[in-house]
Amino acid sequence: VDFSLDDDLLDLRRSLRTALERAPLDDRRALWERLGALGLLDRDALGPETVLVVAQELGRTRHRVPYVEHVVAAQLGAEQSGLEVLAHAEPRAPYGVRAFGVRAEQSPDGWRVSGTKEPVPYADWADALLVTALVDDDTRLFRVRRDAPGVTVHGYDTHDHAGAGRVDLAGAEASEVEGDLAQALARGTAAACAEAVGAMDVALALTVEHLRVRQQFGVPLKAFQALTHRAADMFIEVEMARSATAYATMALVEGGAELALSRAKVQVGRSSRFVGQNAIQLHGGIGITDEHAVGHYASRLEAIEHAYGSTDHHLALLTNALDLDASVELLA
Amino acid sequence: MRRGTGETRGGPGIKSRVHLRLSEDERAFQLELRTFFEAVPWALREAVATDGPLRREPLVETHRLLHEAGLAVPHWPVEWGGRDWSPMQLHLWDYEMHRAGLFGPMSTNTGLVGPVVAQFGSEELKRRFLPRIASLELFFCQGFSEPEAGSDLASVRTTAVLDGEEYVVNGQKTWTSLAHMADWIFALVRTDPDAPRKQQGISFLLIDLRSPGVTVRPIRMLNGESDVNEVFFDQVRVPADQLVGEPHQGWSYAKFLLGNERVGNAQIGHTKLRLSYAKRHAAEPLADGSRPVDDPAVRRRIAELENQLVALELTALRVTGGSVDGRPDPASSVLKVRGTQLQQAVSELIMDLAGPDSLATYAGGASALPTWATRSVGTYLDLRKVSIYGGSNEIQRGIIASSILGL
Repeated sequence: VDFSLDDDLLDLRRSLRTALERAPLDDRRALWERLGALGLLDRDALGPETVLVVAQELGRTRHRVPYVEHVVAAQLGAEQSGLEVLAHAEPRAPYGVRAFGVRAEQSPDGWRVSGTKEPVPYADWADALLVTALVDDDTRLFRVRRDAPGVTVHGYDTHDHAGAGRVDLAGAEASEVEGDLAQALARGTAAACAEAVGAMDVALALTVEHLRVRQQFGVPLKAFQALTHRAADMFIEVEMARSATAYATMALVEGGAELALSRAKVQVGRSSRFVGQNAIQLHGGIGITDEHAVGHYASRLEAIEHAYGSTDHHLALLTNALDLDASVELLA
Repeated sequence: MRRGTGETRGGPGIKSRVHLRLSEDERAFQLELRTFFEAVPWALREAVATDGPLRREPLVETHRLLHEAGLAVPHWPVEWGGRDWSPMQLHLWDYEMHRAGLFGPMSTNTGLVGPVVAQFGSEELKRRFLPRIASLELFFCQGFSEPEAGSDLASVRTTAVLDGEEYVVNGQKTWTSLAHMADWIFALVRTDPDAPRKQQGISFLLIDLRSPGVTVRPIRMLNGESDVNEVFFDQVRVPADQLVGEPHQGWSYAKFLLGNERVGNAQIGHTKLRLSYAKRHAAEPLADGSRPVDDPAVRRRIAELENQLVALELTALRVTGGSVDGRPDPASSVLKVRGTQLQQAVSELIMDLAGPDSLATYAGGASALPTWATRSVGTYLDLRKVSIYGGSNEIQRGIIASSILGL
């Protein structure tokens, strides 16, 4: 059961999978450069279908590189040289397209932004930040150089080891950027869903392998139907997530279906939790250790759950948009 | 139903089996079907639309209408009435039929026995039976389960012993849907009791239910209906040329059939229709003027169910499902499990929307309560069957674990 990709995308998937398998886990800057050398970070390689493949392959690994963040920043008109990331979240702020505590003001020499953004993914890596800030009551977008005066980044590790940080802005020099934040977040949502599908694929594959190899009571775990049936339910969940993610990607390509991204995020969220939790459960205690891979996939799935709007957030959107007079027509 | 292989769009991308935007031709095709199905008299659609009891005449009449319009077996081989439609056209046919609340063509004929005869039967058998299976001139029921062969279907004990030009059949089938309406039964029978594996001694036999020695006994179910039956065979003589394919090969034909049945059992279009009715009921004012759907918990429950149904429908569009090249696609087990879960979940929702009004099950005209509400528990209880029949959902999980995951 798999989506049929065309030959170009199949080739890309094959070569990328090989490259990712060979890349050492402890040198992610080198991997990031390699992705750049492969042309995967170029603007013309960031169409929704290519992103689907690349994000899914990255999701299969434990490499943490700012690919999804790059997809979002590129949509917002990031410059081609150096890494830019969107600095949008603020402490305890609800998800959406608004800024809350970060403000921009016009000075004689241009814009200045002040306030705190956190958590900002890959804050330590970024050469520039695309900061959402309030101008009066409007949320607008600004580029701030990482090394500009008034910018302080406190980077830290995260449970999924991608890393994030707190960005304090104290009158930092900024230039305004024209970008469609909602559209960029939509691209990020689809990419994050694809990454989650890749992570679920591997979490399930590791679990299946464990059921084959691990012996208890003198037999492999797969002799126990309670466990194989759980794995079957995990498979069903992954397939539902794969379908909804493909739908979101098709919606980005073909336009329309604005609820498609929320549909995907809700399905991916439900599936991720079922797959992540049961992958650990079926592994037993080693599933919660740092040294076994499977728990890291569950951890990453939770990071994705809380990015680009949680399941609850998107389910609320679907609930508000519920059409009581008609069924969902997938084909327009 | 076989959806066939995908189509390619220009440029790099996903070779999607579907696209979200219909072409003008597809749109015209869809509207033509919609017009046709919506013109089918409401009397024929009402039972499906309102979870009413199944009666023979509306089912047969619906089938006849579809068959006359060439809409009963479009998925069959062209020489036997198929239309050579694209996967998208077949999808639209199925979708629009459900959308209009049609019962559809009789699935035991068009979805189960017909494809088996077309795939495995001799030319003579095809000529003799396929036109009458397609037209429902012979209304078939499915004789698979037995008292000692439920999930363990290959344990069937009903025997068929060759005696000259006839098989002599003895034994019992059970849970036989609509046998009380049917003219014929296709049955798994044991023709070689000495085969080394129980799967190897089974044959696939077509039996006229009017044959001497056949007894059909309806089983009354929790919803008060008797849609399933026991079928007894006592020295029933069946012409040997009514055996499909080769003797003792019936198990592989059965597996082919079951792959198709699982996709049919997913019932996505019907569940979608039921959910649209649930939404309508939820939007109707209660005695105090408030509406169930004004409760955020109810609204959210509906939204989540609808989203699960979307994911399943997309999956059905994405995978081929059914039986391909004579073998079941294990993906059809995914559709069966999730499809039946959602059928049941929507029936729970409707029952909960009805609340205590669901108690008036057998009130008939004596009740002031709406019919949908009084029928809701019967439907809920009846639909517990869907995760049991067609290979229980536990059997499907076993298939997923072994055939897909390699466990």
